[in-house]
Amino acid sequence: MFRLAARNFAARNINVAAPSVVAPRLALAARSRFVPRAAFSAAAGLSEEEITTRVLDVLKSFEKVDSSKLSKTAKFSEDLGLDSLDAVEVVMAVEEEFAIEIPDAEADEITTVQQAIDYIAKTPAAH
Amino acid sequence: MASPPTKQSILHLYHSMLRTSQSFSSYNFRHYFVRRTKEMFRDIQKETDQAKLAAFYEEKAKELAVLKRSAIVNQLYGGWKLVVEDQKPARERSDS
Repeated sequence: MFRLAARNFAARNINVAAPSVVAPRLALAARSRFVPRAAFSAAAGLSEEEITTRVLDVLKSFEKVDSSKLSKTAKFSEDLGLDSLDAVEVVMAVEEEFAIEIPDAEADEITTVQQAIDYIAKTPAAH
Repeated sequence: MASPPTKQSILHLYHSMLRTSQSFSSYNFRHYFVRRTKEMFRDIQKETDQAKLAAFYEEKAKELAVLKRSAIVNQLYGGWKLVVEDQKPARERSDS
């Protein structure tokens, strides 16, 4: 990034004397010669513990969930005392937190906290 | 008469109605429809009469279509955010 800026700056400085019409084209040429050696992309998505804390935070903000019983292995219906409609709401809240849409078929599978975490971990779009 | 809906299909309908309600851009509309959806499904939760459930399902499926259209229109003409709302986008991608 900095190298690109430096190059552009250099190209602009060289062209100080040249007519102003030529300058943009030269700057463009300088940019097209720039070959990135590394891809500018994030290394990995979310870490396991970050997902876990965020999922647990989402569940904590649910008033029906007893936070003392909350753990990674807790089941929505048995341990946390949620009914099927609450479970849908939990999945909705998780979707919102990670800005994804979980398809119905896969949302049905999510019945424990761990399954929610696993689903987020294997979804690259989650952030 | 329509066949009675399964528990799964009602939950799917609930999920899509909640999701659509959530997509309204006006704060007041969004919160109203989310609350309304939750209340409607809570009311029917203990119902065991299959005919009533079938009627409920059919009605709500139609309502979902209306809701979807309204949500799109609301996204176009939603207006500004209210002062009670979080002003900045909730979460940005780290790599963009």
